[in-house]
Amino acid sequence: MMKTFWILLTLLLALVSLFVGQIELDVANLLDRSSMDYRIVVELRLPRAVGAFLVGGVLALSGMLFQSIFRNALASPYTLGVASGASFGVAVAIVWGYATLSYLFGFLGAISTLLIHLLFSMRVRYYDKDSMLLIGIAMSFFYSAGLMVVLYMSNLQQNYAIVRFTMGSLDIAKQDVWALAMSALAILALTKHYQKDIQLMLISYDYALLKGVNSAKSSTIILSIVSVAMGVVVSIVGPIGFVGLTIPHIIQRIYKQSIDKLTLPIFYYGGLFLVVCDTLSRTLHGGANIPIGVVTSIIGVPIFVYLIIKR
Amino acid sequence: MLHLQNYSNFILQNITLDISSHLAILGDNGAGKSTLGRVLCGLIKSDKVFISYPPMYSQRVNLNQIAFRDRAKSINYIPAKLDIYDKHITMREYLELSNIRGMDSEPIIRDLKIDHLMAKTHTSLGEASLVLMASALIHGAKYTIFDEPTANLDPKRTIQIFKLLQNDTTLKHKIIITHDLNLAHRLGYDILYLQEGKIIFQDTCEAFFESDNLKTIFGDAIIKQEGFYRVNI
Repeated sequence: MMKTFWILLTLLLALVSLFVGQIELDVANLLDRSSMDYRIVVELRLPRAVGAFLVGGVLALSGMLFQSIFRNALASPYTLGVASGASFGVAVAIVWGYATLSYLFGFLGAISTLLIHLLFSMRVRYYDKDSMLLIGIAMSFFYSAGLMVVLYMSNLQQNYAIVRFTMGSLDIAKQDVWALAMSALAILALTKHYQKDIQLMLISYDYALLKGVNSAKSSTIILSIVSVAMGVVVSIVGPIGFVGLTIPHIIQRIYKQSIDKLTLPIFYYGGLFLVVCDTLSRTLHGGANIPIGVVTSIIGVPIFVYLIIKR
Repeated sequence: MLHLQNYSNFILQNITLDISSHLAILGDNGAGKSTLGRVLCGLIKSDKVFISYPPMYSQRVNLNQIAFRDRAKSINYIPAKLDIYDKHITMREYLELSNIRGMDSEPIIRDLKIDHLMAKTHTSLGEASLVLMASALIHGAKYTIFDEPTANLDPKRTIQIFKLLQNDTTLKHKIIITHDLNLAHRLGYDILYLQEGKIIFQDTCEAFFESDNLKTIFGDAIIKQEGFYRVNI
């Protein structure tokens, strides 16, 4: 009952976000398809809100999958170095003057990081989950260093573009929404398909093996698909941290169920959280948008800390 | 029949083993009992474990080469402790994942009188031992390895687990790893004794508990009193 109430309330909040922004709307004009107000909502704010929702959902669900597979509360979509790889790729694209191809470069950065992990897991004998986690974090640092080098070599204009990208931005064009929707669909289908495997891994890897599940195979498939989806998301909106790490924890603390059963709540609230944060980022500071990463952290951190210490 | 063919690793040395009935694995601390159990069920990967079915015992299938699902039906391992990473998983969910044959698990839960634990996410050590026992019965593998099923249990609970092991007729082959000589004695299974990674004894229960044999293995550490074996402290 309480949960339905919350879902309805937050849905209402998301709808309201369409009517909030720098340009004030006359709601009566919305019925007129040729009016400016109609075009602002349908052409600009709706794709942006839908895009933000999909990004939040994908980030949160990716976090849940990473935390389940690595059995580590700190794992997030950034842990394998995939997102940093994407950021580095975009920065390189900007400096080399291929700014229009930045999506492609970001995607390549993510995929090549994933391929390094897969290569290691095939060739290195003791490449277990812990090694994967440590090497992923090490690679993140490596990419950060690379990003610094690229920043140092860039001119002022490029420098600005790179910094803006690394702050994250939800300026989502209409055509990007499709790519995000495909990512979201892929990751939802994946979670549904592997629900039982994930549940077994949440008990223990030994238990999964004894019950006849090849968890090494299913976790590699899950991590690969999540990494591809992350490559798409990061190349479109930049690295938006925090959502993937915290939303799964927050939802589990509220619902008190094993995490494999919380796929839809995690996706839904991850998406809504980003829609609300985006609305605030668009409206709080009169003229310009506050970077989305700033808003997610400022709002998310207090909620997260409160839930951790409250118990 | 379950076969282990000339297996060695960091602790076990040249172990060759055929298991065709119930078995109790005894041995010193660190002798490799649990390691042996984990090798047999595939938790430690090896290509030396084979399984064969009656009456064609000569046709051995490498456990490594059969599908994960089929291996699960053949062999199961019950750890000493109930270890669940996600603290929100209930005992019912845990047991339901053991139900790989799609049977009705309710009669087993009722028999073990653990209905009241099903919605719980945390259990005491004693309750956990019953949940583990239930998972073995619900899983129903052809070979089930119990790793110290009575370790850390109070006397009442030890008796309860002993009776469950003794009275059960559904598990075809029970392999019990234990330190409890009385448990091994009362179950009467064939006995395998490990010392520093080697098999130093493998025969019937009666042969093991002959006083000369006990003397050879334990020296003065074990004495027999009124049909029970007690540590001489």
